[in-house]
Amino acid sequence: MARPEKTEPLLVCVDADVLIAGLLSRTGASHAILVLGELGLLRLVLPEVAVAEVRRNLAAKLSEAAPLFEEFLRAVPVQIHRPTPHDRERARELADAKDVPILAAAIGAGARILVTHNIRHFRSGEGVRVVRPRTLIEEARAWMGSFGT
Amino acid sequence: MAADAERQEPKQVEQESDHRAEIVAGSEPTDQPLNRRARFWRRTGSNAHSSAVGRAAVFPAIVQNTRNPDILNFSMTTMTIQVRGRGTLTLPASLREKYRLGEGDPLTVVDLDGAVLLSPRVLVVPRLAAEMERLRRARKLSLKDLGGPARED
Repeated sequence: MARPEKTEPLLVCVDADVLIAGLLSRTGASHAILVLGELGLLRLVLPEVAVAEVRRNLAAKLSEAAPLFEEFLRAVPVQIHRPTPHDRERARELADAKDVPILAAAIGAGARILVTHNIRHFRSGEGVRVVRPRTLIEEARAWMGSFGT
Repeated sequence: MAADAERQEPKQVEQESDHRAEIVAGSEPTDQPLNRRARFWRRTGSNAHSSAVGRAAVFPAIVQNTRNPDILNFSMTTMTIQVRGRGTLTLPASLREKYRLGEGDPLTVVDLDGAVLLSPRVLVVPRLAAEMERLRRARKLSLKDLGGPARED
């Protein structure tokens, strides 16, 4: 029997609020997304500004957790992406001004999904669909649930 | 600082990690399909159930998500196995060999509330999150206090 063709996992860009929720709570969809990333079922793209925001917030309010975030970045397969000026230009009309670097990173990295709790700050476009964590997990669950049926 | 606070540019760009994970992607069909174990199915299942399980056996396929074409990107093998006494599962030999699993080796169970995944890896994220959550609760901080959502999904 022919070996199935192997393809790449889905590239998902993760906003800072999802990183925070997924790492500081184990009960929500954000945590499930990070677990699926570690499993290799999703390939996680982290905007450089999102990583900086998490570092800044932890340093300011929960500094003892900062080394654990660094361990996450070392141990889990993530791609930290800095968008180019061209990526920013493509994202400019699709995101609130302060969130342009997030969407620009998703566009520049080739992510097909941006997962965020602040969906009102973004509009889907340029090949990137903006969804809440719960939406992505519900879709993944439906996909996995279809196996063997 | 809230998540929608002004984002700042960091000075350093980090490189993509070398760590790469794979699970059940491009796997070969098992060399011990369950439908060959006729005695096992006769002994443990109802007629209807064992027949169905036997037919399902192992079927490698490129699985596509018909609801969302964004999520289609794995080739994989699905298998049907059966829970036995005291919750025991037997992994097919092909999987044990592929992932070099022996008696006593740990597996991680991921419950997605409707789909259950088994991973041959011991995951880092749940351990880190447990510790970070403990630290957050000790400080009586909410997710929102740390730039997360007001309410988790």
